[in-house]
Amino acid sequence: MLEIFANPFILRALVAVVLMAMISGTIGSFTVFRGYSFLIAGIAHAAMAGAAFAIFLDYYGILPNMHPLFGALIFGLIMTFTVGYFSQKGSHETIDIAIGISFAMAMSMAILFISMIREYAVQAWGLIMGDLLLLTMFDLILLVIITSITVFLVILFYREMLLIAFDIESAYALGLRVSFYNYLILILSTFSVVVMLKGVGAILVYVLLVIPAAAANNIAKTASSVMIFALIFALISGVLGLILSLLLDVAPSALAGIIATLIYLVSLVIKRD
Amino acid sequence: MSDSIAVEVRNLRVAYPDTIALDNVNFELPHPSIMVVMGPNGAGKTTLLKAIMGLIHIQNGSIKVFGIDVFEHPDKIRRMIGYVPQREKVSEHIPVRTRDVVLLAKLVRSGPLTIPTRRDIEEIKEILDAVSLPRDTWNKRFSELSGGQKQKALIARALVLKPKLLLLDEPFSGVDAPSQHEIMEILSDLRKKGISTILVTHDINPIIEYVDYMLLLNRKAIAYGRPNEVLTEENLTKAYGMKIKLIVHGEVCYAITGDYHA
Repeated sequence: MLEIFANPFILRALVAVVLMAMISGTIGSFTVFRGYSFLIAGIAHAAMAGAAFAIFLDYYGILPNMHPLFGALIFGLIMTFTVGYFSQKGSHETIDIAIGISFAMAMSMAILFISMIREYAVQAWGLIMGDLLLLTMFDLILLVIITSITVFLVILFYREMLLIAFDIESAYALGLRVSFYNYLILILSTFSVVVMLKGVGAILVYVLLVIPAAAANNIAKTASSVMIFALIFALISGVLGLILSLLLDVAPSALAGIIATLIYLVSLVIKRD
Repeated sequence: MSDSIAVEVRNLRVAYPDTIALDNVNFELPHPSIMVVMGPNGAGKTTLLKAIMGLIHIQNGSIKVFGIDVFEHPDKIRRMIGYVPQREKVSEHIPVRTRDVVLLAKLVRSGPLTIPTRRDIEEIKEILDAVSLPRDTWNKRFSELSGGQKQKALIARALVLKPKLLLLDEPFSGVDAPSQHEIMEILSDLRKKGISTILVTHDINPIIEYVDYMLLLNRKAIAYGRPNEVLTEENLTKAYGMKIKLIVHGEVCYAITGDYHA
């Protein structure tokens, strides 16, 4: 059993799971605290459209060698800033509508670009489904960089972000730069989604980033323990998903998603008790 | 810095793109005292509190807190004011312990990565005791507290920053009558210690004995002064647009306004 961990594909997948669990524990928790969880799904689909657009530009020679993740990041950030603007100016309904419309627009664009890139479409589909076992060293380095920055900034500004999430009016009254911290969380979420895209796919990135934090929020007694529980739940989902996928020969991200959802259901039962 | 006047509002006008929230509001609150702002929904009560903190743009007039213009020196003003928001605005789905609610405000003011000292922790305990929050609630999640306890915790959080002026937005929403009196006792003690309070409420009756000044508001200042001067049938009819009955008991007027809370 242990020798399978000598396999570089599996080893990279395991390291990626640990890094993604750290993202889930930090940014995942704050997206749940701030009520931005639906936005994560929106960013993932915008990133998908961006990746497909980058492949499209490459395919037609308009911008040769454009990396799909760069396109994903640009589109993800456009969505983030659009929603961020409405979250400053508008009501909750306006934000929901802004996310919903951007979501639909992004998915339509993703499908449009995929339909135009023919034989390269498989590259874009890979980002929709994701595969932990196909991560390259470059993907892993990107994950390490983004995870380190994210964890560092969330720990540094933990109290400011928590106060804004808990009571935004008092945060304004205390003179905190609320917009700065709001955009910081949104930008870190976008980068996190983009680097997780290849590993878990646009559909399941929501499952691994948000659901462990949502489950942790159901049972934890303090905000900091939400982050620790979220990390543990994401780790259990990812590692167990990976091991079972090797035994059953199915997609690891799908199994990780199912395990994360089961953990969430158990947390709901514990919460009721 | 003037210490005899806590808040001075002159010709205040606040307008949003589609409506005028406040127009020609004037008052001067002597320090230390307790003032109530009362008026129907949409009267501009919360807007007035936000204007006093310098958080919204005003079209006309001036606001001074202890003689300092709130828009010229926002940082100084924020250090003098403790704000208690409407409880419904607090995100209770986040698990935060009661004592952490108070500690968080203190540490945020001190800057990132500040480690709480033993003195900070002692201070938090003293303040939680001062607002008579039972010790068995300190480690409970904020969401598990009763309405009155939550309000006390939020007042404790405002007090930890040692303000000279407290602003409370609808502190009695969902709070039973005994707790309302307890909270007013706390505010009354603070007045003795030199802290003024402005609080927004829909019903002055249960707390009238503690109140020094009252502003009756409906976008314009209908009346300002001592409660028994402000609470006249004429003023209440102007503010609420309907006839309000008054019962005079001793030197105190009781307005039979019913429940106007949304």
